[in-house]
Amino acid sequence: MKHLRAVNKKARRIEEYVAAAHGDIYGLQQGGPQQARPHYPVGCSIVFSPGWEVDSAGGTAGLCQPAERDLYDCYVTCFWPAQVPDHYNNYPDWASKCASATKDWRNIDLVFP
Amino acid sequence: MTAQLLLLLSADPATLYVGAWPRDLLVIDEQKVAVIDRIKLQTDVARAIWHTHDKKRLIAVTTKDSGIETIDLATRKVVDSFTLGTANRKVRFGGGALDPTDRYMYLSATVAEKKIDRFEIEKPKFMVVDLVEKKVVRTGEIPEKAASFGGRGQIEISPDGQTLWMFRDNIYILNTSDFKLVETIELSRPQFPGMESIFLSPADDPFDAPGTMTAVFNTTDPIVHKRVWGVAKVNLNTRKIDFTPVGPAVPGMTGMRISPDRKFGYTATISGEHGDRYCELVVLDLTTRKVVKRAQFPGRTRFSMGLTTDGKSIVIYGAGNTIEMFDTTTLQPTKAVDVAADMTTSLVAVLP
Repeated sequence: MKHLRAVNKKARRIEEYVAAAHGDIYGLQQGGPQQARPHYPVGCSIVFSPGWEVDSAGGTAGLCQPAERDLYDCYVTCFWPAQVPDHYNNYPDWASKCASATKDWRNIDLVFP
Repeated sequence: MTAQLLLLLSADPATLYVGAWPRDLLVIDEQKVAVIDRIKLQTDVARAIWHTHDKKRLIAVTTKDSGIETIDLATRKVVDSFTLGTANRKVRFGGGALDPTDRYMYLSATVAEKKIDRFEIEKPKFMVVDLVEKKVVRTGEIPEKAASFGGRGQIEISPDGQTLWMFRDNIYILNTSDFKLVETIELSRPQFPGMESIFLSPADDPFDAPGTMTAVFNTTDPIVHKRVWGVAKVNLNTRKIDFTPVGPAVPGMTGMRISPDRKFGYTATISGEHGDRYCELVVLDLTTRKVVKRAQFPGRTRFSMGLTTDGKSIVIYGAGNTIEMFDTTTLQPTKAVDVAADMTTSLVAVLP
């Protein structure tokens, strides 16, 4: 939107208002401007690239170690509709043979919808 | 529903209960920190559990078809089980609390119904579930001001059963009889000098005095917007909140746990992120409201924190299949236990 510029009084007032809001004083504790990060529009769950969960920086350092530790919990609270079976509707037993994903992930049902 | 460790006041060793995949309720001896039994739930994996006020039963809500199960703690068996949803009608629970009689469960919930050509998502609402009649006996609209975030958020029922508290961007207090909003405690415009909006993280801690909740909060000062954290005491009866700022805020904190003598509070902080992330256990003197000890520990990416009933160990658990204990005096690890199942709820402790 940087190619837009104010051409009338009202638009200039809006620009001044926005600039004033950003120009406030902030304590040094808040740190500098954030570095640019990869853009994951709706979180990690609906994109197939790289095909599994990534953290907000596009890497894996921010994930649970090992990543399987988080498999079930992320499903229950966050949902990974693209990558894991649909527990609520069609595949309620996909994890019935696997209590601990870190240890027993080979027992998780493969589902081919 | 937030995952927090809930422990009951006792000098005796307690039994811990926690929901786990695939549809188990693990029974853990707190003293030995060992799984001594597994209760098989009937409807699905547990999403949250509560103990009744008489401490004889557990109530579990489960995921698929929105099940509610009652577990008798003496026999360690499911004695009642029913579902609120069907194959085409899903009831997603947000928060929940038992009323003082233990008969009615107050839930915030969103209903999604699958029609022939579309899904219809209803507005979030309160549901009162009669655990004896096994059905929803009353519903009520969540007031518009409190309905953001899909109606999710912690719910508490006051000790007299008259009011329901919703902890959100503000604290909303409603009549339990008609769900009318009777008071809003504006955390976004607190009546406290030197604070901008406040974010409160209450924890239902059994070591709290009856009718009170101790919580950590985050706020910023109105001049240079410096973020600070502190301790707030919420009185559910008088509706007064006592705020004490403690120190510079960190990006993440768990809820506060209180020692049995109510002299110390324990919390875990999370600083940095991703590869630079580090976690600390923090001990707070609740008399002076000052930090008296802190120590770094290898915190998981996501975890819950609790305190054993004797106040001697901090418990770190979830996500995953292990429980780690830390000595509250030295803040050093003492034991790690593999419970052989990924945990899905808070830990709840019940006395023998």
